[in-house]
Amino acid sequence: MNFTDIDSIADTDTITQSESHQISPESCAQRARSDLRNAALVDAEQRNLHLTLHPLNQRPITVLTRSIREAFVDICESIKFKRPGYCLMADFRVGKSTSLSMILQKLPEVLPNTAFCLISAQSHTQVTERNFWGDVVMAMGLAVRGTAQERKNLVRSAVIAACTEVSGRHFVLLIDEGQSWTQREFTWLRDLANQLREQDGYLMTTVIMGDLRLPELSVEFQSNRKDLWARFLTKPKPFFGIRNLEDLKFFLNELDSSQRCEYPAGSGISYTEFFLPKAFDQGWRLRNEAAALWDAFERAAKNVNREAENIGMQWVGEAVTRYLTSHMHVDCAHFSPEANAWDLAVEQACFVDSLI
Amino acid sequence: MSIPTLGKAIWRSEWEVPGESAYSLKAKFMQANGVTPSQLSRILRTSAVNSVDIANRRAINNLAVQFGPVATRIKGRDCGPDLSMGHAYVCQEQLRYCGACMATGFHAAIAQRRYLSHCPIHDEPLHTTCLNCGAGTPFYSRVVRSAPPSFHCASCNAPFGGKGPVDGNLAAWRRPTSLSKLTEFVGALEKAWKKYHSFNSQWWGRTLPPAMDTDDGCEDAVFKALQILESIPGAVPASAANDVTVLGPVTVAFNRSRDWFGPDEYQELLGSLPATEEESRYWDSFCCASFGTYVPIDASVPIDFHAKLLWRWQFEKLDLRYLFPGRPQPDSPLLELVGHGPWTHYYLADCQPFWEAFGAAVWVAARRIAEHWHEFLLSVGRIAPSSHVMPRQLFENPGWLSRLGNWRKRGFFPVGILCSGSADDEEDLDVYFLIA
Repeated sequence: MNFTDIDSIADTDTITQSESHQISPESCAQRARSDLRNAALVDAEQRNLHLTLHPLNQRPITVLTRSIREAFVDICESIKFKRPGYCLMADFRVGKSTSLSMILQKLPEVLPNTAFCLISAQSHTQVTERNFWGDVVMAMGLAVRGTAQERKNLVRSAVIAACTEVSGRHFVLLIDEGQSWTQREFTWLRDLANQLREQDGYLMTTVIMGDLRLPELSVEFQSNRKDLWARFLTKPKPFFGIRNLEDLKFFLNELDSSQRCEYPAGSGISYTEFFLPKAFDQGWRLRNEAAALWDAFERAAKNVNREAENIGMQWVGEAVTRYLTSHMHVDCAHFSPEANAWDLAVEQACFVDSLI
Repeated sequence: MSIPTLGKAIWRSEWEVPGESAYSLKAKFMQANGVTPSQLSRILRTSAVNSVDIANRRAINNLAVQFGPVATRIKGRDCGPDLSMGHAYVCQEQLRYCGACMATGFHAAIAQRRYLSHCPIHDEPLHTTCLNCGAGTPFYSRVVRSAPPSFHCASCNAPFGGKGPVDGNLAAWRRPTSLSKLTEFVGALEKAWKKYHSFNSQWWGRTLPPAMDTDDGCEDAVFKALQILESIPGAVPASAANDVTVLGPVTVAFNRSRDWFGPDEYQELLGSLPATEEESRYWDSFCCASFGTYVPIDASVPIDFHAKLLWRWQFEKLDLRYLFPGRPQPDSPLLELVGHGPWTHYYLADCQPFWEAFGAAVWVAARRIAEHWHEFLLSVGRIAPSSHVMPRQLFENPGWLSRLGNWRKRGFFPVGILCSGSADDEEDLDVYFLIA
């Protein structure tokens, strides 16, 4: 060996050492991601733990649907144009509350200078102003005390504080179960909105979500209290679960997406991949099962002489979870479920019960 | 949910600024949450509840529990360094405010300290009265049986900030724009105060600048001295403290064998007494003031002669027997000066270089007092002892009573001490003398 060779070896060693000491942030992230994937997909003990905590096994399941997206766009428009109120109505178990909380989470990203608060309207056998403001104060996470006037002032302070926090002058109150309130409650809310606008210079928009009794309230206001009707309940827009195959495809596509439906966080594993990693690796996707699932819902509905329209998210979510869970043990590269697998999942989700 | 809360209270993190006082925190908490003074008092009186028995509904609904996190933050506020170490009740007193701060719903805790004359943030003067009607400001910390904490005058309702209403106007409450000035100032002051500790609170309480017969004068002098020693940024001291001189340092070595301050050293200390013939020459130009001290009554008396007398009066009752540890506690001026603090004082009392420097510092102070008295005589002409001019003029300026008198009677000693280093850590001490 001559000196040139020794030098070249020394140089190589130096390069290798310097490379091993300089770990880039990207490679760190990659390693962390790889560790997470291993824990979630390979390590049996960890996988069991992750399975228990998986978002599809928790309630509510917060996955975007087309209806939520449409409602979100409508609500954004109402807020943007400073409309006094926006109203949504939906059937039972469609996912009203979940969608409202998902919308609430997303709104600040789109409208950073607007303050938001979500409350759940409550009905009382004896409606008093003190009770009403007590409910609002409690929903805002504040200590409930004092007279009706004091509670109202507290709500007013909270609205101003929230607006100041986001450097804005627009407050959006999202009201779930809006059908629980009567004329009296809406009148008190109107008074507060007026006070905020006239005395303090703040604007309030209400977004009301209610069940199918909301149109009745709207009609009642239209005839008796035009002021309340025009402000809060002009025309309740319908809010749906899964209406058709396209809706279902959209929903299932979300579950396939590791960007929006990722678990564990930072692993790059989509909800679908978590349950069927080998099949997913070979290109199997839940969205391709949309037609099969829709058919299963239709068949189930037909069996009781009904039609599958506006399927509640409770049954869709449960059917998908059951399907994925029941096939975990048969996950393989060439995954091919049994023909009636979706029918079974829909049946186990008790979808038919919702139609009767 | 974008309602900003802390515990169960409406609370924005923006409303709580480093260096902010309990006063403005209370005002904002009360106004935002509709809390009454008596409720606030009850909330602040209740000690922090760390865990709540969930079966105890009454406890859960208790205001003190619901507002506990905010109450803890209010209670955790202090008013910055107490430079006199003898004036801990500053927070019980009237509000001192800066108009520009109050206009944003902010009050700096350090503004409550009377050694500051101007706001460290805005350089505006600090007030204790309403600029609109002249009524006094509310008490700083009392909330019951007093006007509740607010940003306006309780008498005429004018905002202290002078602009639009701040009370109840949640959107107007914001951080002062140059908050870093306050943070830097308080940080530098605390650091300096940690480095230089004053000796004896009692002694300090007696070391008053001219025309200030209160503890605040002492704080003013210490503050000014710290500014001279450490160049603290962006603070205007109380105007009366401008005439503070800092002498030193004298380094006192901890591990050195003791230089006992014995009779010989004491005689040396007293060695510059006026000669007998000098005394007899000017004795006719002296009279005994009503407070029992002789003062020159015409300007023909040399300043130095008067200064020598003043210097001697500070030490003349010294009884050396009591300088030595282990003896009964005396009625001795020097031990009274150094004997009420930590044992470091005894350590200093034994140290020859300390006494030499101390004697020199007292001489500078005595000379300054004599100069001021001489200027006073020149301004009023000869004082006729038989008339009532002298007592009246003296009493009109209470500073003279303290400065010319015997310190033991009047509670005034013209020299104070700041000390850097810690004898507890067996470090050398750097001793500075303050003359105010």
